[in-house]
Amino acid sequence: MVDIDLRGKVLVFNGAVMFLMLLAAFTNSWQVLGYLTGLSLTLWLVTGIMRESDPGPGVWVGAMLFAFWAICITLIFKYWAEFRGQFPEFTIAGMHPGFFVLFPVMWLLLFIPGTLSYALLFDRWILSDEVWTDFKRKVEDMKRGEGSE
Amino acid sequence: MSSTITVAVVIGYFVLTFAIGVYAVRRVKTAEHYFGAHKLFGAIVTSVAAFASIMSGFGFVGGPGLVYALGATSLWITLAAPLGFGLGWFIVGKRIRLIAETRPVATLPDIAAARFKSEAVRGLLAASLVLGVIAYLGTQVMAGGYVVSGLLGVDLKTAIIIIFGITMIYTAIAGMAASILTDFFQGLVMLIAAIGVLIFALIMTGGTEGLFTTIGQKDPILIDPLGKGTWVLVLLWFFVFALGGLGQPHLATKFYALRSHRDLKWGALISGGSYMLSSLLWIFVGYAALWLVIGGKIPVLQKPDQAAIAFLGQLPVWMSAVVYAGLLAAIMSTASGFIAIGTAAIVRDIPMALGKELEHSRQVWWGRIVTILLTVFAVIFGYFGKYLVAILGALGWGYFASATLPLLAIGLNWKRATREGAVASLVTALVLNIGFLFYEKVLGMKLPYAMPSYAVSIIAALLVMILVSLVTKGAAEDDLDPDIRAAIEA
Repeated sequence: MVDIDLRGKVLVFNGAVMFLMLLAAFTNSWQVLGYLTGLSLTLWLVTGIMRESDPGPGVWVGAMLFAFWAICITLIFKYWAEFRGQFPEFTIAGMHPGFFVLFPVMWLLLFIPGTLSYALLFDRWILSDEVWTDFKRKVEDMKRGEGSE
Repeated sequence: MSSTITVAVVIGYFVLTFAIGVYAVRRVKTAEHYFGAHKLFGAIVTSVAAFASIMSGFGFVGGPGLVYALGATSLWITLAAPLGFGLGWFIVGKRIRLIAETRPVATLPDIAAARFKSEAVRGLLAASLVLGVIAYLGTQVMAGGYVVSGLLGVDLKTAIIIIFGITMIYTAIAGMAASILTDFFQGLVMLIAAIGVLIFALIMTGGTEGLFTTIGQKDPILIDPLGKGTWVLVLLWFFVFALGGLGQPHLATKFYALRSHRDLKWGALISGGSYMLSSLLWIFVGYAALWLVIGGKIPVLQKPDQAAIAFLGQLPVWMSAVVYAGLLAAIMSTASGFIAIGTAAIVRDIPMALGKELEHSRQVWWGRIVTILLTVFAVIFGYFGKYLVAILGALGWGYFASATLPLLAIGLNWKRATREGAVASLVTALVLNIGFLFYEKVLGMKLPYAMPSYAVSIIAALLVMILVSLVTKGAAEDDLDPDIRAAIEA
């Protein structure tokens, strides 16, 4: 039995999701592909945020990213199907409603958990002074330990 | 030849870029500074440089051309990229910077060799980078040449010598340090151009209301969220351009150029935000060109790539001069980064992989020679290569992503990732990319539903890395060096 930490399990699960994405693409199951794409990107974000066996804020930041993605992609698919090939019955600032959800709504919403959160989490989780000091100490200890072997 | 104002702005841009590039040599004290700008710059310089190197000339010309031809289809590329910067910082940023704190890394193969304790991984990755760099530079030669030729009224050969001569000289003098410092300046020029274009396009077309209503009444598909592409295409585009960015060597190299670990904090926001602003140019130039054609203000374009130039013809002269400077900045910033990366791979990594490390004091000297040779070779290849350039140019982005992404995204986040997994994923990337190249360019075949072949290569390389790592043991878990283990655990 292979021993895998939590982050490894997330990576292996993401591997399965990406394999399903390929299957969905080759069979033109594009609605399924749409949700799997959001799920895989979320799992990558969680992988980047979490520590080996501690998901930390990765859970809620990942949940936020997937929720934003799922809502937006659902609306994009819906409005696209509703008004395909015709001028839409209503527009938002002149834009097709599906287009408006893609740009600017989804564009801005995904930026919050996907990019802005890095700065917001930096001092508390990503690389706090405590994590930095701990890293430096660990490297010194490990080197000393190896040197004395 | 363009107006006097445009020529003056372009010449001024060239002079400033050259001066900044040459100035960077003051920072270069070691081989690591020359090849990787190791710990030389702060958050703002590296973050803007990261955005500038990713936004190539394609974003200024090819992107608007795709909008003109297909509507919203290509927006799924440019709208994914800001998220890609965030993923880059989250998934690899911290870990690369931590490793840079404990050892003198200057190249991606340095990182890969340290993580997987393998000179074979170093050599394979370095060879992949050299191939990708030559392929990419080859495609930029003619593009840069045509732009400068049109602007300055000189013949194509002279134009190529001007743009690549300047880029080559400052990159040869100060290596990656020059590349990053000039990228910073060039990124600022691109941002000014993008904001100016957005404002002008919205004023000219009567805002988004006038712009999209006019286009939608002529052809509603051009303003829907899919455009003329397929869902499989746009969704896979979004996926690979959000995730694949962090596998691009010209982004990943910026992390070990950061002076302090605290400089990571604002990087994702600055890079992603800058890219967001510049992507407005991609979107609005394309749609404004459609608006101009539909409104009968300009004739129907012969080629979609003429969209940007047609739009620029409507701008005040001073504004179009700034945008042309932005276009040159986009081409040169990406080219200089690639030249520096290719040079480092040839001078530092390939000899190391063969067990023949050059003396540090000689590495910079050889770096300058190889920079000149590599640029001259790429220019000759780009100018005379014709069909071969088109074929190899198709490798570019997806090839880099499939070769480096598994090593960085999985290798730096999972102690269980093994040397055998790394080698297998590199071989998979190479075989699939060349295989698809043959399948598409030589046999003229296509994957179904307009599926981009590089998406298949990237996912396959990631899967191979995971699966092979599960059944092998090399350079994993307790076999890792202490600093690498600590960086993965942090």
